[in-house]
Amino acid sequence: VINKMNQEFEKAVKSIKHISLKPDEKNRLLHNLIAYADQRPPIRTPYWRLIWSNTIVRHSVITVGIFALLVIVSGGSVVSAAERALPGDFLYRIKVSVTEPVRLVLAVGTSAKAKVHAEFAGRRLAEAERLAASNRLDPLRTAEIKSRFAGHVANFSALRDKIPFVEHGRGGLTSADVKLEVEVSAHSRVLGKLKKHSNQEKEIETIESAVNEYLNNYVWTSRSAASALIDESATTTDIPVGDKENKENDTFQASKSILSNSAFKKQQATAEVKMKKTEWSLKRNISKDGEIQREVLTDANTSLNTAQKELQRAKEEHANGRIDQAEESLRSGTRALEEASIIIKSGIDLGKTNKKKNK
Amino acid sequence: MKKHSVKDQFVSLYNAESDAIFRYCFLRTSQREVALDLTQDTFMRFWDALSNKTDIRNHRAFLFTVARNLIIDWYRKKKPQSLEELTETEDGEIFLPLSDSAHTDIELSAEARYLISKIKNLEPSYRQAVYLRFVEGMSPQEIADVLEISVNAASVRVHRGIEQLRKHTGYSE
Repeated sequence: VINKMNQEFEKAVKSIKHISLKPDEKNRLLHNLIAYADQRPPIRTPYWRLIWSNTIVRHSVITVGIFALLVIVSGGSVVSAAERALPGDFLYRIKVSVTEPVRLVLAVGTSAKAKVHAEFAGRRLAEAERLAASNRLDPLRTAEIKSRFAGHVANFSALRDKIPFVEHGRGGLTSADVKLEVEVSAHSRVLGKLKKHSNQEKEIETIESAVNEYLNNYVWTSRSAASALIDESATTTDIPVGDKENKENDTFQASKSILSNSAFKKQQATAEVKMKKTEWSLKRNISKDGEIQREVLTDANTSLNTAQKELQRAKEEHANGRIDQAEESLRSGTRALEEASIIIKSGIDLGKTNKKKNK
Repeated sequence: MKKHSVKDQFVSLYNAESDAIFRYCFLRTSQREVALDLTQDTFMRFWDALSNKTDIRNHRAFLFTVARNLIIDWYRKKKPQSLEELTETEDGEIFLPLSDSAHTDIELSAEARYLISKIKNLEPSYRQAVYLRFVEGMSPQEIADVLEISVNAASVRVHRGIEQLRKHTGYSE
């Protein structure tokens, strides 16, 4: 009975629903309503509320606020202690949730933010090195490092795709790409050395394979596609003059352009100053106790020698008027120098970690 | 994802709900032009609310509530005797009539005419609840919002209204 009633009612409802506006009535009403709406525009939300409604802005302000509060309350000691914290330490959360996001907020521009992510990816590997050196690289910490490294690489990749065309150099490389390459290459070399000196060979291999997998999946694939695209359009892409001037001062510039004479000399001078500082740092630490530290720093010395040769070659080529070759050598030299300085820093950190462990 | 402007939101709601609002007004006033005016007024009030950033929990229920209040106002402005058409309960709640003459204006099936007449014969407090549930497919929460009663009261009215409808239509077991 109920089914029959429902069927009857359904038919009736369908028929009632035929009562509707005719198309011309519907259009006429809409026309009137739009005219009415145009005369009464919506009240504007105050600008600060609009800005605050943006999740990224809100998150950034909160992060910077917490950071400022920590600095004020502890006089900066908590923040500086957190900087050296490792996964599993109490202060590690502050490092990854407060101090590092503040660095990201302060980095202006897509390329700068991508570079910060590249640096953080390197930091995660440095943490793995220090944990391995003190035999604390357990599966939980390995998983944390892997997941954070993957996060940085994914963010790097997303930002990298947004870097404007004019900032892409030869082969589609951006300065952020070079930064990531240098970080990964330097830390891979340190991890390679560590494998021989620590009992955590398996854990280190897990990290190494994860690093290769993430880089293959996210970075290299997207970069090769981008470089193909850029090589195709290289002949038609003009670099705005102002932009070119700005980029010339970038140490990591993977430039396709010919630098002006003054810009070349400026870069060369910067590289030479850095070379002296790095050499001094190496000499001061290489003679210290600790097998790992010595071995890692010896490896850094190889990079430093390469850098020295390349910088010398750049000088000669430039003097002979072979500008292209001079620039290429300057780029290779700067890169080797940067790699050396990352390895030296890691070597010193490992030395400190080892000392603590022996105590 | 691109954020829709208030105007886009308004137009899309107009396209989705204007027929239902028109039908609701037409069945209660039985005059096409009046129903058109009331539909337009309803959406104007709705725009005012949207553009003033009024917090509207359910847009559909809000539209029906505005339409209902406008129909009541229309009856009040009409000749005094038409006020008798409004049914008032003991607690002052007003129920709108379903007009008989409305369906002479348009083609309706025999079943539709029969159903409208049966709803009209329901107890006043059940009429709108049954109409909104059956014809407009509203949830108890929406019905409660439109009739400004509790969700529980809306469910009870729908249930009892359907029971009464069964009896009136001879489908009662």
